[in-house]
Amino acid sequence: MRRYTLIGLLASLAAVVTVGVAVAEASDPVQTISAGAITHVKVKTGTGPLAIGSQTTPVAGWVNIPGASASVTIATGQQADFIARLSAHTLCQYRYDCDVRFTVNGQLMQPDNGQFDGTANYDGAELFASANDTPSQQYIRTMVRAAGPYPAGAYTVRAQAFLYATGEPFGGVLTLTNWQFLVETAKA
Amino acid sequence: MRSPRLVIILAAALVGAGAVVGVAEAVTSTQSVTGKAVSGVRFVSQAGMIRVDGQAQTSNWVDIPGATATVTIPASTNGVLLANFDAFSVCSAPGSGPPACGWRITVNGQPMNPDNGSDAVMSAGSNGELRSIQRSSNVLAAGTYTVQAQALLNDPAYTAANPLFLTNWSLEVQQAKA
Repeated sequence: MRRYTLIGLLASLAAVVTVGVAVAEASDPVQTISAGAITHVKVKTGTGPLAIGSQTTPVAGWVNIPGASASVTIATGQQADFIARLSAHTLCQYRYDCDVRFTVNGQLMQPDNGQFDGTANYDGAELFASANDTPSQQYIRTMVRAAGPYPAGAYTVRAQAFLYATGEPFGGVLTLTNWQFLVETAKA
Repeated sequence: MRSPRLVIILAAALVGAGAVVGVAEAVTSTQSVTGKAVSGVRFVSQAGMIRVDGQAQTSNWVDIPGATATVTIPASTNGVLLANFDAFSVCSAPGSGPPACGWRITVNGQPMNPDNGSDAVMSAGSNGELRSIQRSSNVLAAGTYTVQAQALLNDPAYTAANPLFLTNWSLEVQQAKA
């Protein structure tokens, strides 16, 4: 893993230089969701280790994180917002970035402008854990996202991971330990 | 569905002078705040990347642009605010000296708990990582409050400010009855 850490350092140094050039055109407007009382909470937890992805038989694109989903129903005549958070002890292997995003019925939660580049190293848009993790030096990560308002209906809030882009030599593996996926429903 | 009752128990470890003189002499205190149901949520976010600049050779906290929320605690009631700020963060140092950036969250200009005066220092250097902090207020009386995420981008010991790059940041503020 030392090799990946070193490569990661160099890659991120380059990223910083690039960042300085691209900042002015990269940010979207600030968005605000103002919600009322939290009416419902769903929590999924696991002690793990939960390994997502495969080095040798990877799946390209976004894949569901097993267990990290919640089904929520908004009652007739109501509207609601969703707030979701994933917290976990992480280990990201065989790839610079282990990316995570949240969706509601397949639609991205905020902040997310859809400009994620799965082939870029240290693309901060969705980075959850990185190759700076090593088996002996791991970190606790927390990501928070929100979306809404939504009308009455049935919704699935889900966490997904991106660990392999077509053409890469092998896939990444994201391992979560003592993870929690929490979805709060608030009146809109 | 019964509204979930929120019980907030905060154990805030505040490290004082021990941070300078060594762990053995650290001063630790704890605080406890108890709240009830969460009555409102503000979620402020920005997709993409922003740059936050500091000021050379000062230790001033600067507002993270846009990372603010205003909440009102109704008349004749008390409230507690819970705040979370998270972002993919790159702390860089164009000048000499080691890079270091800090985050804190304030309510009407006062740091939320825990706060030991040098909050959430990140020696992120060139390594971008997902970072988050969670803070809480004391029990607040009725009134209007502004919650603001701030960054400390430099240190008097360094010769230049350290720009901070944030991507896909979010500030969440939950308002609980007290």
